[in-house]
Amino acid sequence: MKQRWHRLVHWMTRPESDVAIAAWRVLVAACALYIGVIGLTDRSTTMFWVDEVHGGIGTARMTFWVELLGGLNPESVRAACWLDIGCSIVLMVGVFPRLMSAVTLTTTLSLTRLAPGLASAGDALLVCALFLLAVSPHGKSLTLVHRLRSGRWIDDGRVEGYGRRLGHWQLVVMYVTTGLQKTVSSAWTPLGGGIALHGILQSPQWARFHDLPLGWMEPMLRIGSMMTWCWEIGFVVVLFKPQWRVLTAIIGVGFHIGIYALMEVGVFSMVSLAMYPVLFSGDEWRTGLRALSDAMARRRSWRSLWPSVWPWVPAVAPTPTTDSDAAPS
Amino acid sequence: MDSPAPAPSWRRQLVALLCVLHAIAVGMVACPAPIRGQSKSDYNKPQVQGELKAWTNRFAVVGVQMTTDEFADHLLLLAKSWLDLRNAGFAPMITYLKRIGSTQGWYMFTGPDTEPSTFVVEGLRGKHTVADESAWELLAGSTDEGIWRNHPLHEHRARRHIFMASWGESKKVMQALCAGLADMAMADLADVNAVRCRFHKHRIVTPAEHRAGLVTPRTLARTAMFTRSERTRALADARKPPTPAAVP
Repeated sequence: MKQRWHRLVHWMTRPESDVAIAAWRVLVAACALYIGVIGLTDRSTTMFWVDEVHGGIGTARMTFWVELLGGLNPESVRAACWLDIGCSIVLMVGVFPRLMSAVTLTTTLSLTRLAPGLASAGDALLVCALFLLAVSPHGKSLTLVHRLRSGRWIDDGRVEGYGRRLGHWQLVVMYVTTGLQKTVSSAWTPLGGGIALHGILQSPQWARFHDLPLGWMEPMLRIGSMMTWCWEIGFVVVLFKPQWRVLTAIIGVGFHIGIYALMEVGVFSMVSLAMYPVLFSGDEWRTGLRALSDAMARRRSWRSLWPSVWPWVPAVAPTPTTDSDAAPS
Repeated sequence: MDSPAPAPSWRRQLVALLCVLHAIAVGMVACPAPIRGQSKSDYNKPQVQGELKAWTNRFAVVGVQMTTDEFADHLLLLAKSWLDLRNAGFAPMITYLKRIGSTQGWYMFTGPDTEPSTFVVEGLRGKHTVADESAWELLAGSTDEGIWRNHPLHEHRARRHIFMASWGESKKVMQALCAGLADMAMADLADVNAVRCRFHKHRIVTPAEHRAGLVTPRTLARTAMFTRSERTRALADARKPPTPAAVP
């Protein structure tokens, strides 16, 4: 029992390259930035985020930063949006990442909880990610200070990987539980013929386009519905079969691009994709990116050898790779 | 045989323990719970009735005979028991996750709405009376564009609120939505003197019906209306300082 616990502790806190957590930080900060920007640009902000005296419709609830900035009026809400934008930018460039994750968590919560009934799954996932970033150790990779000092974005530093593992777990829990609750309706499953997407895309509130030829898209939508359900429930496989993560992630990227293209569900797709760097450790990212860069370099040299095969592609000399970017042994 | 793992430091053990507790809390609280399906009236909605019938038939195939109503009663009891157990057993975890903002409710598109609503905002310009049905003009709609170009109906939070107003039983949500849109429309279009918001329900079509070009009829489900004078008065009332008697 003790040995098992020690193994778990070693696995949970094993140091790894900080690249994955840095990429996660940058993408999550970009999503928080987007929340602030739409708070400033959306016309419905006045309706939902301010009180009735200032033109709201009664959905607004007081939150920490908005109260501190003066209450539920348009000026304070705008100031809270600017604060969120500022904090997100500072987090994105990597200045005091833990502290800034915590502060951005409060600013994002202050905006998304202004109308709690209208907060979406994307808002909830963003808050979860910011909390995990606030408790995770960060390195110097993808920070502006490191870039200015060393001229490189990637650092060789290593950090304990527990934050990334918790992010990974959060993603698994989200997909699997949403898949499980879809089981209530046969429409997602082969039992109901997979007609869920066909129905959802007829809803004026969720469909991005209203004139799609849904009748002709039937086979694709049926397969898409059943695949969505299977993939969400099957996402748990990434915990037990790490070698399936690449395939699962590729399907996930396609799935979120599809959701974004066809449906209007706020920041959900964006935040979900921002979580994907945590599916792989920093070392795996570095090894993978190195292999990809080597493969691209090789391909370029083949092109230079046989220009007649690819006459439209100019021959380019392979880019030299630096040993400092190599994954540590 | 694996060599024994060396004992990690106390700090690492504490970090790992906190991570394990957080992971357990997230996993437990995220388990699907029927938070919104707690009244029998929820089970009377057409899409829920369809599902109940389908599942009753499936149970009948494997030899379990019961009516749709009996099945609904069993489900309601099961849902209530599970929710009671969850709220009591997971209370500390729910509180912890609420405190850190990480509420775990991943309810996304449980099933398609078989009777979605189309939302329209109409306006009355000039000196027409509200009873003059032919004088109402389309300002904006969830699927149609009218003369109000700068409307917020396609923004994400507006879509969510429109969905809630169409789905919920409460008229208050609809009234509030329409009041907000009326203020905005009247500010943008100076000659609009009254605004009304309407939900029209329609049955969704099957893929075959879609290919055949069938359009199901729309029926008026809900409406709300405000005139410019009503909104001016309401806004003035809202801006009045509270009377001394109302101050606690």
